[in-house]
Amino acid sequence: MLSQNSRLRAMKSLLYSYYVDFKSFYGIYIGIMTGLLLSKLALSSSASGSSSLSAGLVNGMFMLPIAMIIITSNSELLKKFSFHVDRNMLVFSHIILILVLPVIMLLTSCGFHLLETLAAEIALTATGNFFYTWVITKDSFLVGFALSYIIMVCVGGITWMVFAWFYRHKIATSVVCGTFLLALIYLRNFRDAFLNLINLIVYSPSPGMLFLKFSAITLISFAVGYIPIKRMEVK
Amino acid sequence: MNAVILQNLVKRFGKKNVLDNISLELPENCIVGLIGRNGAGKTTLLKTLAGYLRPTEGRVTVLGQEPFDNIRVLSDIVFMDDERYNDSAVLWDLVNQAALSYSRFDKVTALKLLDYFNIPVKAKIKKLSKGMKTLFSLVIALLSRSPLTMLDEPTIGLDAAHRKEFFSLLLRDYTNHPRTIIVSSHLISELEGLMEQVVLIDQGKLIFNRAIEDVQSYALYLSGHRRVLEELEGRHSIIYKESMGEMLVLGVVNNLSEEELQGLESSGVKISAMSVQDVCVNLTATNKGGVLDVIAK
Amino acid sequence: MNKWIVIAVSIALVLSFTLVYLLSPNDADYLARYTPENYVTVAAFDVPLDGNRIVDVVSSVFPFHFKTLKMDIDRIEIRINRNISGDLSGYMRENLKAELYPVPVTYERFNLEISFPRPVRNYMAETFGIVRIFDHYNELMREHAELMICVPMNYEIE
Repeated sequence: MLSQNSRLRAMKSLLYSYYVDFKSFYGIYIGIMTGLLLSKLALSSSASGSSSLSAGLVNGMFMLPIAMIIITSNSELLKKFSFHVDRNMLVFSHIILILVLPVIMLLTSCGFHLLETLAAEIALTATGNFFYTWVITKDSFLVGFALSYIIMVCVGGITWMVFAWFYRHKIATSVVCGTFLLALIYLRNFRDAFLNLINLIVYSPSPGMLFLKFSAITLISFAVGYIPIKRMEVK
Repeated sequence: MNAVILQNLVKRFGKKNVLDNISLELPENCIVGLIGRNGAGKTTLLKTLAGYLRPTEGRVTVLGQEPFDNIRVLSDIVFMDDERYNDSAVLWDLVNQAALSYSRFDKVTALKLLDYFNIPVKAKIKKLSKGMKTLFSLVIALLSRSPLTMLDEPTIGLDAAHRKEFFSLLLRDYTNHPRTIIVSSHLISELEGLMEQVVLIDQGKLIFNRAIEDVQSYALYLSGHRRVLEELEGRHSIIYKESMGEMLVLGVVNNLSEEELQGLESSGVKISAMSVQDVCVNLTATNKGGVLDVIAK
Repeated sequence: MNKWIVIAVSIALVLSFTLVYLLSPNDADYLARYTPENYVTVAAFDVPLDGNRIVDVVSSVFPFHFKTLKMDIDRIEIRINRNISGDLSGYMRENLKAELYPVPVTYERFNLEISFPRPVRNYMAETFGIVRIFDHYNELMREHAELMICVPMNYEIE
């Protein structure tokens, strides 16, 4: 009971600290999305603007890995130990971040999409040479949302796993990653095999199957990334 | 019950033994001074107790359990040093986090103290001076009222007035809420009035773990003619020696009998108690001579 | 941040998702917007029904999209979708300039040149681009076209 209570307190405190940290992360995301929206609106020449939904995915695909590179660093983890946590909690909170941040980013992109549409409606009444079309169906929206989500989670999970190892075992991880990259560049058979593997993963008969494949990769990343964090010392 | 039990603790970084076979017991509800020179292993010892580091060998028991990755123990420990908080963190958020983390945290008093020390809670850590950062960390650590409170160099950056206030605060809070407090510091003389127990370590080894009264009477300074004092060298443990012509000053571990002391006094030897600070300094002195010898060469 | 702000932002985010979902048609309704009946003719050309009967669209209609359709008609028509917000058909009726001419020397093919005044802006509220890796959604999205060029059944258009 006592243990449960202290675990709960520590978890709440840890999540609170990540919430505080990620306010600025979210601010940057909003800033980029706003910049994209404004630049799109400011375009005066003939233009066919794509929507914020895809922009949200691309933006998240860059920002989430950067966030993962930062939160797995030794200095950041040291700060988290300012208040009591155990390593399981730390990993759990990182997994929560990886799972929750993409949802927030994608939901925000929906908000920007609506803002864009609102701006389009206003432009429609103000100018005679502005036109717009809604090219979204319910089904494509849901499937797109789910796939964008799982891709972001998967990319976030893989980055988290790689850097959880890298910061703890810099030389070993660099050697493994360097060898992998060199093999990819110089060994044709290896490159073909790797590309075939990627093809095998991405080519799926249905979105559901693709979702499952990415989920499996994410789970494996979580499991592999857990090992160095569980064993790490806070120096 | 003991708050801390170390059994043959070894902590190795690479091939270097930073903590070398340390065994000690620290009782509950007392203020312990952890004393040692720079690089003696004080911080490593505290970090091991705080569950940051895993012992290479031996066993560490804090509040009855091993602390490494053990949230049940860690929730009763607070460890304060000068690199605790994220520079971009806002103080208010850290106070809230402390309130969430520590069940005994006194948020009202913490805010009052921060106000008293003119520390703006809406500011970010990086906007604070070194002294303010230290004060903030101390307020959080003290008011967490954790059963094991560890303060690593808690007076770094504090001016004399703030140091005095901090020691008063520490003493008052400890009196009202008894717990085990381990303070690692170089300012031994200032800590002397607080400490109940002194743990001295040097180069990773435990030199002693004694009650403050024992340390205060641990050694004596004997100052007199070389001819009289040189006789003592073979019979007693000398921890300090300084020659000035025919005069000699010796620091001697105090196991001299009453007769010996009376005999020395009658031979014109001046006898004075060695301060806790001098005991610690002399016991951990290197065999390289003093820094002035280096310049002289 | 105040917890009420967090709650308000969370509700706004969920509402955004819900609104986009509700504003979107289902696949059948979406496809219905792009059936030939939803396009109005803004330009038409009488053409010979013999010869090689190949039409090349030689100008860009950017920022719009076009699709082609063979129909039981005896002329080449440029049609505009009625469901585009902003009366695109009216705009094109007034401003579109189209020219169809046989390719000189060979006279085996026809060139179709379409032009309209720029700048003109066309905003497409598109779905997540990632869905296009599936043929079903790719084809669905390609159904969207502001312009449709209709040719007689025995014509080819490239």
